[in-house]
Amino acid sequence: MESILLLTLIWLYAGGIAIYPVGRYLKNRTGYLAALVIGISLLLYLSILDKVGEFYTELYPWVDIPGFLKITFGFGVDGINYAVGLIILIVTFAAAIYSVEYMKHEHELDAYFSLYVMYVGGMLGAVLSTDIIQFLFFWEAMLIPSYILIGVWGYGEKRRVAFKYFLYTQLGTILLIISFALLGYYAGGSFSIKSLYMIARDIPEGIRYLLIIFTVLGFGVKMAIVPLHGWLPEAHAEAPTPISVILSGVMIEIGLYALIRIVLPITFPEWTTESYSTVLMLLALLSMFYGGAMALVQDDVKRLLAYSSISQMGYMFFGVAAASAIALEGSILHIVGHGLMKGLLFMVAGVLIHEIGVRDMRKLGGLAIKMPVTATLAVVGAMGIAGLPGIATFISEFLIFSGGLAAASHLKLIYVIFAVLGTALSASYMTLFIKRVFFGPLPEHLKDARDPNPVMILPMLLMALLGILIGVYPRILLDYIVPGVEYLAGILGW
Amino acid sequence: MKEFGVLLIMGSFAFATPLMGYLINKKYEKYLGFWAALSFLISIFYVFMWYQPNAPPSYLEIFPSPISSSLRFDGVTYFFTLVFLILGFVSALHSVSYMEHDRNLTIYYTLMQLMMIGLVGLAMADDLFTFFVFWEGMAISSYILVAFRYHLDEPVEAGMKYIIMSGVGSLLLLYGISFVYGVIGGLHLEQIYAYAASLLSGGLYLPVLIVSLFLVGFGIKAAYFPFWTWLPDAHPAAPSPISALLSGIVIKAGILGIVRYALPFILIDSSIYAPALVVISVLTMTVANIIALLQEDIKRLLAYSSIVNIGFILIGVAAAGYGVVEYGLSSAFSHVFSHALGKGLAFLAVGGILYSMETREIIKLEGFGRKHPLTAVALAMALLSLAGMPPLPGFWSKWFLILSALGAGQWFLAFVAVFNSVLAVLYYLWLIQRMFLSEPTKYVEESHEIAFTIKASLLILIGIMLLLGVYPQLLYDVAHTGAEAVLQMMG
Repeated sequence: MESILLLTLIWLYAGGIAIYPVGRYLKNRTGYLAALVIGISLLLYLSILDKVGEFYTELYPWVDIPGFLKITFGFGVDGINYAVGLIILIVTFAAAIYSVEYMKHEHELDAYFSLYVMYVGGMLGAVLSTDIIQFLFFWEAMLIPSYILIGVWGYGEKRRVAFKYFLYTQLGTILLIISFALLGYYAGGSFSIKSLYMIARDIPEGIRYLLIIFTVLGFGVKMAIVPLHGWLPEAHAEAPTPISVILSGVMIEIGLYALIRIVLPITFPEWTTESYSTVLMLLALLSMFYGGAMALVQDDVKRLLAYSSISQMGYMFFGVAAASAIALEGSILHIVGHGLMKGLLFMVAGVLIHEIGVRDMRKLGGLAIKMPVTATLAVVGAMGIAGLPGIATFISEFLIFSGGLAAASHLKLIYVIFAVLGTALSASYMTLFIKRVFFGPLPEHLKDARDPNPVMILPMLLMALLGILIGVYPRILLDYIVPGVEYLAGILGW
Repeated sequence: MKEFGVLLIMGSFAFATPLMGYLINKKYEKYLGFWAALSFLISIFYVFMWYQPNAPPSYLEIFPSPISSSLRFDGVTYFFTLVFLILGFVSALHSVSYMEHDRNLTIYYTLMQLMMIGLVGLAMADDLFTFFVFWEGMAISSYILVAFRYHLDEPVEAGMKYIIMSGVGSLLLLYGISFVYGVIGGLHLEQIYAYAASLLSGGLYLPVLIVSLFLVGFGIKAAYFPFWTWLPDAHPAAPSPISALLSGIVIKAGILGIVRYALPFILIDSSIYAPALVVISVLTMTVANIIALLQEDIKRLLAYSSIVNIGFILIGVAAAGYGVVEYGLSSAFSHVFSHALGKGLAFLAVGGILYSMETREIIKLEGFGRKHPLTAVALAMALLSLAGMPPLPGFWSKWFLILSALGAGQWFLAFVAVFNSVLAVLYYLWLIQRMFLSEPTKYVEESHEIAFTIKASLLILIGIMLLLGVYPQLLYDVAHTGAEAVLQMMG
């Protein structure tokens, strides 16, 4: 079928709208319907697997004003965004099932799952967009539902946190809108990514430098690169756990994907100049170390994981800043691996909140005996974040570092050495997390703790197994990612 | 020729309204709202039926020379008539329930129709004389409508302020018109364009004076910097459907006046008028936005946001002044449309809030969305569209405006526009957050159900907004008809 991606998106949005009235009758089983909707869209999405290699695209005319504005509405896949889209659907599918049990006692579940599915639609649409205005549409379409989801169903000071999240992202969006307007202006009113690649060399050099600054700052807010990370620890910690899974696991990575897709090919020569790549790599290192160091000293499980996301984002950004094909492949694979592993760990944190209502690690300990399955899964997740062999993140970090070395300058070598040292930090905070939660003496009040309902275990198991599968046999994804990156590399002239 | 039947239809409906009000039982007086709505609905279909977009303008002479009054129907007329009538229709529908407890409804609906006739007549006027007659007809009806609830203090005070300022504006406008007559010897659009084209540059003393008088006269109605002071009092004080009309379309009459009669002069010299428009636009957007941040009354907040959006519309006019006529005007017009829809919907939704709980304080609205989802979603959609959030028409029109500012080489203006539209998100979001994220307050718990016609009027506007948001080509094409007509006049 020729419009399968459009169909997927329409299905998600129609499903999202339909869940609201139907959910009133299903009550706390609404989540199964949401999972079904996402599951079917996952199947639809998988049905174009064999067309990924040939750059499958669907284009629909949208706005055409000669000489002023030409916007197409289209979806396209290559290896890069197919992988990202896949991980979005898998993680959100798992988190939807997880939500059924986790959100059981919450209010207004019809609205929750309706927004949830529309949020998924926004993310998938953003990743598949072939036009930057269309991208902006979905960019906002994922912001609004997530904002409401945090603000209504979150914990703690949820309203302030949600507002902060919205504000940060929206301020970043100003810079994006300005950059997109500039791009369109130089492209004669055309906004499709393909036509932007064509005119990239006609943009004056000064403007291209400006574009890098604006877009790195604009997308950097979503990615929570360190000076712009202020919203993330709070938003990810206070969001309802299934939403934290999505926020940390897939949403922040969309900013990175957009950098790879839109900015890197257009500003490539400037991106790789000595001064710019130094600044970008230093930013990435700063994120890695700041996030890692902050994660070490957290007492709250979810805050630890949130800071760990900042640190992991640093790795992915490092790969993009290194701007070599191998590092880029590593970054994209890391999106997948981190999505699975961080999602898994957030789900573990959710189990703690749901089963024993404690998220402060000072009050936890010794749970490995009481919750063997959860503990095992947590160890898998921790291994993933620490980048141990056997899990997808090992492969991706390895690729990022070797890609950084491929850039082969002495200065960059030092950065890569620091980045590798950073993994020790990841390993430390993850070990500490496992030790403080699952080992040591069991406090008196945790005597009755036990593994959760299988409805919560299954999605976690799915994520863990996928992480291990990709870790053991990374070619199932790399076979798609590598041609995508190579195509991009062809455009860039690597 | 047949297009002009719109005025005849609206006129006969308006004429019949007081007769019907006299004949029927006072109990059924409120249903005159349906009568008014019917008049506007028929007019919309009539315009659709008889007007071919991009056809050459048609004329109708009312009085021969020396008064020489005539009507014209071209793209600008088509565009503005359509915008005016759509908003008039939903406001009349909304009024049926909203005004049901008021007295003198016959007068209310007659005045509403007269105001609409004034507006449609403005769009049809071919010469400044006819224009001024309809202008005053519209203005006088709107004064009375603002002060319609004359037993309260606020509307009377606001109405008084409005009369004084708007009266001064009309006088200055008339003064400007007298100069036009003195210089050209005629008031018709073609004559003005011919005269403007004969001027080699705008540096002459008299055209500058004329444009200045026009910019002040129209500016008081359009309420841009620094002539806005009446608006934040008058718009909140009026009944909500009238606020929707005032903020949605009456202030656009000022824009219409500028585009029709000041633009010929503005276009001849980009060194004087266009920079002035840029300055006005930047100051209007920025200052009004900052004041809006401080508002606690929801209708005042919306009133200030109207001023901000007039600033946005001026971006397009300024871009036209710099030579990007087609795209500049098209984007200005598309913002006229999208703002009319957005602000109309916002005021009508606030009307729904007032209907159900009679408070304008934002603090008391906490949790309103939990109890009345449709009204709150309507308000949220309107605000998000005004803030320029995709996929709503406000995003598109602002995008067009920013691109045309860039096309005119006005980078600073484009930047200020983006900055202001994000600043606007702040106070809109603050409001939306209170409606949806908080638990309902006791005021909200005690609120009563919102009537059907109010909901219907909201649904109609939501439908139009979604259609234009998802399919923006339509928005641009309608707006472009207007720009095309101006281009034709330029020759």
